Amino acid sequence: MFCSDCLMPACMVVSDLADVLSGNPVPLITDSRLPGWVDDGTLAIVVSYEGDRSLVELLESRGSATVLVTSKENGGGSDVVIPEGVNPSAFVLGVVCSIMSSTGVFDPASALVAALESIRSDEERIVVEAESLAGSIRGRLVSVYSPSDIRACSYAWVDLIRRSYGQAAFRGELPEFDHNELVGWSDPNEHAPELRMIVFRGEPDETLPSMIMGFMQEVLEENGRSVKTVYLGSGSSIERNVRGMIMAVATAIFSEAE
Amino acid sequence: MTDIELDRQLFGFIDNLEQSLGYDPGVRFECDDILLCGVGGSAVSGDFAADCCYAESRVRIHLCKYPALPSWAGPRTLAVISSYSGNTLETLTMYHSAKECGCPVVCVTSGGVLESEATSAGDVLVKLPKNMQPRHAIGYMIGYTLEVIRSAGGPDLGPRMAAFLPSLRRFRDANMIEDGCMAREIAEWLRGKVPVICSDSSMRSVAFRWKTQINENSKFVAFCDSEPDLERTGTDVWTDPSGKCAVIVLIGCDDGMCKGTAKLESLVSCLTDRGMDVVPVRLNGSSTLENMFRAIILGDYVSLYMAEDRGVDPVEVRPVMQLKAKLSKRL
Repeated sequence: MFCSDCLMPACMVVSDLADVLSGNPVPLITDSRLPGWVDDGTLAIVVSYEGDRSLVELLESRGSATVLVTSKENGGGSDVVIPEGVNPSAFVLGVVCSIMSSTGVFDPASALVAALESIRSDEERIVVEAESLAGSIRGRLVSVYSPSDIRACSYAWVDLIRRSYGQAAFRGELPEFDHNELVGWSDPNEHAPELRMIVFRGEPDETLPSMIMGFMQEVLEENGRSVKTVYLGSGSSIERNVRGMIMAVATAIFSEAE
Repeated sequence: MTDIELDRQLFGFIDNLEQSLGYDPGVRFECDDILLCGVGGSAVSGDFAADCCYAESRVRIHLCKYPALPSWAGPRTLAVISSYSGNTLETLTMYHSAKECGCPVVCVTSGGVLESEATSAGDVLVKLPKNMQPRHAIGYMIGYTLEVIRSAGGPDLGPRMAAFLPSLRRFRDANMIEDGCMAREIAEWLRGKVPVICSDSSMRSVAFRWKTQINENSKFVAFCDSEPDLERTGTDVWTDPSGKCAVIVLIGCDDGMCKGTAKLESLVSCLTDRGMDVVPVRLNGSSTLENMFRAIILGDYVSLYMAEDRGVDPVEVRPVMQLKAKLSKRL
């Protein structure tokens, strides 16, 4: 998959899921440069809201079969057109899942359907959490963290804060954080009291990643750093990612109301 | 605790790199994918090597910093397991997963459990010198990782790197050591600020390295970001709630590896016009590959001088040790 615009987090949901379900890698390329391995054996799904065809042309010059997912209809034979204006990330997520499932590489569409069933029953909690988060972001220098199996969530949140709040925001991954950033965040950083950490994670369980995240929170608290933690449930990576992204959309709405 | 003083380790980076070039694992790996596994200081080499090889490698190169291998890992996936100490729990978990998946494995380590198990299993073992800070053994680790990638069908970058080593040494000697040198000036400029390191996508790993070195050596929070993520979210509308962000923009040159210099110059202008603290760091190397190494050296020294400025010990990483202690009690 190839995407570098506002739809990137939606594409990353599928890439994250591929690392759990797929027998073949499905890397998400966000770079305008093509990786060296792209050739006539590559199936490329290019996602560009504005219909930028430059990457399509580059891919086709290497013999790759390409599909362009876009909101701009301009006669490309293999283009998949999504509606303009309405939350495009939701449409792109569904479309990319469907395309991927149709290739037989793996079946994210079924996983998405199952995830949405679970998320629907959680709507009230998502809204409550979103409202709480909306109030804690404005005027803060925020960094968002999520485990590496749900990278899309933290990307979506950084995009939200930058666009909806017009504030600088950054992200990182767990457990990588524990080997470097943990030292910096454990310092009082008295020169920057506006610094805030938000961690998106699954429900605590006995798996190694979960234990590491729990101990990380303990170490930070023991060193005087409070962390806003948002639990995204214990479902699949697509469920946790999408729950986090819906929460981001809800928070954006609350931010506009502030 | 290490026996080799930190500034000597930083100074020795280029020599370490030179020593590792030309390494031959003695095996030609037939694979479709290379999975570079590691966390923290031991993952830097994988990050960096992946960036170096991005535009040229016909073999797909992926990073894994999570204690679970992707579902597609298997006999056609070369797993390069990097842990300086050989005892990092997440990395050992990745090693075990790689063995279960049937991946061919190369282990890069100075010892520990990883060396012991890799030796018993007959895996290819790249032995690192002992008594170094893990995050400052990257001269060796980058070189060895790139040579392993070459043996798996990746590009042969060794000759190009060997050719610019004299230039790197001159860059180090002119800009890192003396009073008033570039590294000290940048460190002083960052005093009391929140560093934000920005780069083109070709140097994403380098910007991340700067961030983590400032975190660990200087004990500050720092951030990084790279194109196209910066463009996607419209840097031109950023405000800085802290009023303390100091943006360093790493600028190289356009060539086969990098196409983003103009965008970075535009970023500098945009942020300056918005009244933000910005400094462009123009690396002036002969190629993107050389600029990546120049930037690594510069960032390491900046973090060392920031630590000196703050009066903190750049070596100790107490919170990481706290976490490891909790983990070892639990497991």
